[in-house]
Amino acid sequence: MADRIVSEMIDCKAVIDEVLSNDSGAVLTFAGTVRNTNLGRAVSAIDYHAYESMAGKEIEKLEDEIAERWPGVQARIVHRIGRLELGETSVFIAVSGAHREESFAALRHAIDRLKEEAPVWKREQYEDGSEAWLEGS
Amino acid sequence: MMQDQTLRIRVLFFAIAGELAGEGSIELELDSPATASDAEEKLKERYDWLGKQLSSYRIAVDEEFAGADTPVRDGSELAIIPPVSGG
Repeated sequence: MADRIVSEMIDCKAVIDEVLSNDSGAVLTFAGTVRNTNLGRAVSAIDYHAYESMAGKEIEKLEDEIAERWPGVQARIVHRIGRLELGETSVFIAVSGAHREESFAALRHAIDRLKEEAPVWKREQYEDGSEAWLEGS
Repeated sequence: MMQDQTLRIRVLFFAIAGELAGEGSIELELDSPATASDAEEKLKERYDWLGKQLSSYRIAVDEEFAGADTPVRDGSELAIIPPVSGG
């Protein structure tokens, strides 16, 4: 099974392939990407840091929790760390399920919980050359 | 006779906590037995920013979020987790 924390570009197709099955009638994906502004400041890049071993475990727990809560739904979540340029994908989630309803619910849950629980932090680099850790956003 | 026992743990500081500590990790000695809360008190004696400049944080012991009563053992890895901002 693929790593949940990677330092290279995320292989989105491989993440999707991990949840594909003949039981699924819906496959949904979410990509979080690096945006050029935050809280009114011009962002030029983001350096993602993680407590890698724990973040990997938290992601696996979240995937298991989703499979338990929505039987038949499978989720795979991969987070990239290191320096990412504008527009690059920092997190990619693929969810498959028999029907779209539970698949949308599971996908929403996956990204919301990931942002609350996974020990990952953004260090934003700004256009003016300064940088700062983001907390809780 | 009971022997005085000391346990050694590794403490990891992530993100802003690493910046405030000036390093990513330290060794910490505690009297055995010890909990996450005992370790936190000892860290607060050493770092005045803990609970002040860094007012909100969570503690993990051996890669699991910990409660105050979570035991720490010799060789445990305790992490100071500032509010996360992944995604």
